[in-house]
Amino acid sequence: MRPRNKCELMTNLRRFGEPRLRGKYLFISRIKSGRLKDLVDYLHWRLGGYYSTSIGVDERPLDGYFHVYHVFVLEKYGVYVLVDLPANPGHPVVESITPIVPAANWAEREIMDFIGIKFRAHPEPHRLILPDDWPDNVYPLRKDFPYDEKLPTSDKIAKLVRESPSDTWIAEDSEDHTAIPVGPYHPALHEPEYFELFVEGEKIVDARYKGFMVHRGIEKIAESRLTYNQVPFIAERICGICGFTHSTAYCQAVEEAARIDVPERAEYIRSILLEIERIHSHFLWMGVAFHLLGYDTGFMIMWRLRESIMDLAEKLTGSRKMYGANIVGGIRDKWDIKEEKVALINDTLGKIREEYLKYVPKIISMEEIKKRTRGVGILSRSDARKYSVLGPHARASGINTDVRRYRPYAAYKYVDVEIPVEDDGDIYARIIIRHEEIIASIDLIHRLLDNIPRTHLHADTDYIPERRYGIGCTEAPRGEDLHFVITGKDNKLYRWRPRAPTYNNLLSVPTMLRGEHLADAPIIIASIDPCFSCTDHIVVVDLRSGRRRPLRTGGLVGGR
Amino acid sequence: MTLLQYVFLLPIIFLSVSTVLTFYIRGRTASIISSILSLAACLSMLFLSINVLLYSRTYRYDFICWPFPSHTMSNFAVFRINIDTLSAYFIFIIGLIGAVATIYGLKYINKYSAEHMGFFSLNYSLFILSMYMTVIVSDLFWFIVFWELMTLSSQFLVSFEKEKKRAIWAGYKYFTVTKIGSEFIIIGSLIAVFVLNNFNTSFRSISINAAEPLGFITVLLMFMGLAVKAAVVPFHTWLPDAHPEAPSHVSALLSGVMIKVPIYMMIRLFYEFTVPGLVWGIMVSTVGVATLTVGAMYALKQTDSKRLLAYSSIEHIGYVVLGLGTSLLLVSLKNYLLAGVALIACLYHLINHALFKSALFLTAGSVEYATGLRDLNRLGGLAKYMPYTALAALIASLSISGIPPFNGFAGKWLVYCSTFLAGGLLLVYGVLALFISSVTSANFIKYFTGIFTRNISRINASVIREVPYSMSLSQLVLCILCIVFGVFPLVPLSLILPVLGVEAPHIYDVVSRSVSINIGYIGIGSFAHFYPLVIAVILSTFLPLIYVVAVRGRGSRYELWTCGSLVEKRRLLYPARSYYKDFEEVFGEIYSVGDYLYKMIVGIIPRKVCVAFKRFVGLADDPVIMYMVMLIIIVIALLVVGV
Amino acid sequence: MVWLNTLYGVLNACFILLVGPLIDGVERRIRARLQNRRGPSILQTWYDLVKLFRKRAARTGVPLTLFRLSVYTGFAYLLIVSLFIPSILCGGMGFFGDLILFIYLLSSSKVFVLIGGYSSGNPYASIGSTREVSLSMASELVLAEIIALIALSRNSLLLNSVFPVTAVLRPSVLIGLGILGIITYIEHSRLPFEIGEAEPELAGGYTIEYAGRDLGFILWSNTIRRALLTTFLIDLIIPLDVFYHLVIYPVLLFSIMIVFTAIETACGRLRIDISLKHVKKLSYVMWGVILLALIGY
Repeated sequence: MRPRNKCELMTNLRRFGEPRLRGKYLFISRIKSGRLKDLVDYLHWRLGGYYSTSIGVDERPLDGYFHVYHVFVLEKYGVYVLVDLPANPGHPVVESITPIVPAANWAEREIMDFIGIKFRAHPEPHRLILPDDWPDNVYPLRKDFPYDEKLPTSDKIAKLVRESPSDTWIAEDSEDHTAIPVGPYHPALHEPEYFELFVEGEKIVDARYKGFMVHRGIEKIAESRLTYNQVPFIAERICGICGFTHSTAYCQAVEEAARIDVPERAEYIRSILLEIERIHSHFLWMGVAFHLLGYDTGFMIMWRLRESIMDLAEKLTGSRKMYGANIVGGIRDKWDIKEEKVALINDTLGKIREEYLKYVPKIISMEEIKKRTRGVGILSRSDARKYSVLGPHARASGINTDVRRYRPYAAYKYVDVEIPVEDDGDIYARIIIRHEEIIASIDLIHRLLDNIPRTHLHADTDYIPERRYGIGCTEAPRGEDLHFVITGKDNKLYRWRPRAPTYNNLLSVPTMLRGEHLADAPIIIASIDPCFSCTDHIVVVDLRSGRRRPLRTGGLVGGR
Repeated sequence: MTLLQYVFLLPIIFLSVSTVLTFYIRGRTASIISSILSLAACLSMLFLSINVLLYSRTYRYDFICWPFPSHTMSNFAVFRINIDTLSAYFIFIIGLIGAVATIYGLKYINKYSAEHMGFFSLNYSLFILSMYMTVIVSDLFWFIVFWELMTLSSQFLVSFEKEKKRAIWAGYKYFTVTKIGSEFIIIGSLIAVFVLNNFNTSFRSISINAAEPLGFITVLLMFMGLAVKAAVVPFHTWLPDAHPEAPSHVSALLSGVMIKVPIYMMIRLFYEFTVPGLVWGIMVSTVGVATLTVGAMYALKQTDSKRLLAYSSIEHIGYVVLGLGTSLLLVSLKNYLLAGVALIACLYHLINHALFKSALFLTAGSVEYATGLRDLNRLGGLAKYMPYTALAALIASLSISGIPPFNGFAGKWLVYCSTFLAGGLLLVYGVLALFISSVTSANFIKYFTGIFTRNISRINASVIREVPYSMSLSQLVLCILCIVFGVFPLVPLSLILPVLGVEAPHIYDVVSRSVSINIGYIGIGSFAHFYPLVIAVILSTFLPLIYVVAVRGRGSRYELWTCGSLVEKRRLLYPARSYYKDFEEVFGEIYSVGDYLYKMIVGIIPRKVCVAFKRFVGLADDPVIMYMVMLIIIVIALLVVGV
Repeated sequence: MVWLNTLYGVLNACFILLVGPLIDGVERRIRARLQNRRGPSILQTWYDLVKLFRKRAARTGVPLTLFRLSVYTGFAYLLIVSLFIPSILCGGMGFFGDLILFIYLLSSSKVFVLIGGYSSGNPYASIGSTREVSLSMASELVLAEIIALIALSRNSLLLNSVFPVTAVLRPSVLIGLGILGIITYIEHSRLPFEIGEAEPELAGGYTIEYAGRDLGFILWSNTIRRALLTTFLIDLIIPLDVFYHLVIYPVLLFSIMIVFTAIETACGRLRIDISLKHVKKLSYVMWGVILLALIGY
């Protein structure tokens, strides 16, 4: 029996702890002992919601505890459930939920690395993000860790180069199989990451992932040095492809926390730019996918089309990527879409659409493409739920989810969004989903441009109250992009945690790889449209000296 | 001159002395004595065969063993020896491979404990002796006697490592399956001798009319019996179990020589005892092509070095039998030129196979000697530690893969010429043979790269040394012969053509007219030709040139490129079992057919016989008693039927 | 006569050695044009090769001599083929071999290159080599069938009597030539079947550990192999005549390569098992053709 409305939900949740509803956020604190697993099971598997991410916060200066927030999204009730687990600073241990929801695996390990909260009964309690030479018991996201701390050189480095990195994560039985290293530098991967495929002939019997090689420590810098309105620029630099969606999600999170009403015109412009970014991203992905399938002509066609989208972006924002349009409360003045630009966008998109439809439907109905992608890299619906996969990846596995429709933000509140869903769960389904999304996005931009209202571009943001919680979600090209903020003093954030969709999607890759052909590995990995810089984002460690180097902010934020 | 007349007795004397001595002496001394005597015997065999083949001497003797009162029985009492060119050709192979294997075995055998060395040496000399006797006797009765002796003594060599259950089992399986085979021969011979040929056992007097039913059955029985021993499909399953279990130089003898002895008898059967019709040509060539297909495809799946070689032996016997079958078929079609080419191909490939397969078994043995491993999944990178063995394995692998101008190509080329130009059914067989040849090269890419290349392996490299010179040189001698036999086809052909001249004079006439041969050239009329010497000359001028121009300089040294990750090299090894998985899957029909055959024809029956025989052997563990029992059984059987 | 043929052979070999990379350059240009790019100069492949020849070789494999020498041995075998197959001049050192030798020499050169690939010890190289070996095993079956068909229709294996096979115009011969065209395409390792190097999957496959001069020779060998296979196809079609070889042959050579390139640009890469299945189907068709030939068509 699912509860019918929020009230019933609250009543049901009382069995597990104390629910408190604050706007869209339903905090459940004081979990009864031993009921955490039941609660998680209830939220993720029974209520039709899904686990989104976990955030660790060092709230000792505020209430004397570490906190872990497990975020669950209940689209049906329009709420975010934040399961609040306080941890004693003397002995920070909480119970792990990974055994119930495997999707929480990385998020919990990340908290272990950064905040130093231990998770009881976690199946793989190894380091995830921090490099192997990082000293023990130093947790960079704790408030007592200064952002410009210089750590002593570690002698583990020399060892690291000679031996293989932490072998603990390799299962014993994998020993007999050939290990095929895919990455960090591999022609099929366009960013550094490391997949280790264990093969028998050309059949993949097992696969491991090790990532977070380009972790940049953005969170710490934002919390320590940047003001609210500087963060959007660094947020945009989380990703080179879908940067704007990150800055939008961040702004929305702060706007939620500070209860700022964004003017409608700004919302429309955000949506238009987001859709342009989506089209660009999908073009890029399709090109890469065709390249990995050996079809270079398709690659050339897609990237040529992408050029015109990038040109359009340049004409609108002044740069091909890194639009730099967002600030908290709206859009910067010069980034307005004027009348003459409306016509330009309509024209350009019309041409792109025409050319796109000339080539791509033919390409994706080619026998070779179908043979290589049908029934390959299948992710079943239940596995998709297990890893809480997001966006097109989830939609290809038959999960109807889209932030734009079910938790509308920006201008999606005012228009209908088409959501293609496929049930096959294979690579071909993912291609089809993205193909349809491109067309839907082009149509959507036309509609948004038709209705764009004349209002201000940004709201006044004089004062942002302290210790407010906000979650900003956008539908990035790769799925739900979630930014969690806690506001702080001095025009600064107390805590900011961006979670890119690839973070969840990547966890499902080893499952998809198992039993497949080695030749299909690159396309399977690419089929989730992985964005490693998004996922890795956050401590620059100079491997040679072992020193952590703080990031300079000056170079990032352009003149306003 | 008179002494030369008795040179054929030398091997018998040497080997008998060795047998008798090793019966009393135990330990390492026994093995040294038997090795020296066997070597002397083998060298005298070489001398003898050259005498016969090149100087056209013949040796023909009838010894009266004991006077029999009755006329009908007196036949058995005569011990007939007739060394004609065909015998001499096989004596040449026995002598050559025997000599090399014996030299190799001198050091190799030290790998095993000295405890059973006397027993081993006894059987070793007995084995060579019985092979020798099998090909020189000219009497069906004595042929069977020595045939059985050959089976017995080799069976003890196969199950020599008594500690290993697998070796014992392989020995039993080998013995029972080939024993059944020899029952066929015995029954066939009984019919041939008592019913069709008026109690005459001499080869000269046997003639079977294969056209009438009883004659057909006789030939069929004898052919089946010989086919079992030659490991022809579907009677091949004993071979992959038996050959790998024996010590490697014995494996070389088994694969290189022993499975050729039935071919010797087949040639006699089809060219002397009977005039086979078209049916026999079709049957033999079909069996041959089935054998080579099954052998090669199964070899593709093997990851044990010697098992791979054993399957490949089956394959190459297939080529030989295909050559024989083709010649039979073409003779019945009166196409004497191509029939002659096919028969030459049969004999040519036979000696080629003896050379490179023995060399390969010896290299596999060297690897086992140095590392104790036969598992291609775990081996790797030995070329650095065992350069001579690697060189030998490379040359032998290239030969067996049929890379021109090595000898493997020359033999196969003759097979293709005869089949492709003959047309009809043979054309199809030729296509299959050519296809299978590429599978062979895949097999030996696997064999060679699996053991010798790839700089990473899961074994401890520090203890590996090159094998002693006696071992590495004996491998290299075979390899040099591989090159010689390939580049100068005149060398083997001058051994083969005399055989043709005696066995099939009508074919020989046509062949000598239309096939042009010089030192490095074979040309078949206006149909096909092949000049290996030119290729060899071009290669041997170009390669040193390019070595000086381009390869000079060692190049800069880098670590293996692993995409920038730090993976332990050990874990990067691509094991041999992974090599051709997809090919095996796509061309999997052959395996299902093969497995079906295995199950239905040879899986169930011999297993039961095996069990029964095990009990029997349990009673008589002493080899001498075994021999006696076997001989008595045979003699009684013959007498009972005769009287 | 032998000396004249030797001279012809040497000239033919020179032609093939020079024109192989040139054809590749033309192909690159055409491929670029078909993909809406400008593309490099048609001499680009030669520039690449010259640059590679100047560079030092790199090594990782332990059996050093084998690792490097195998490349050159493979090259030498191709050289022998180019000596005896008629190309620009109508003649060659045909006195030292026949059709079977042609097939064997071609596959031998591949065997050597792949042994080199395996000996590098890189798993990518091993997988790439494995794919190449598997595919060439399968296509060897079809090639064998084609040889059989030729032998059947010309009743000889000698090059001089076999070329051109079109002298006997039978349906089976025509279909056989068509299939030979397909198998030539496959043996060229062009795109749907370019699975041994497969840059996005295997990062270069069997060539992965080679650099500098060695890599240059591998690339050169590949262009020569393509030219030789195409030459064989053309030789079977056009008469063995001075004019045809001097004029028609180069035109056909370039146009076949251009057609192949056009096909290539419209294709994605196949998986090894799928491509093996394709070749196997082709071999079934070819059995049918042989049957057709056997009953006299």
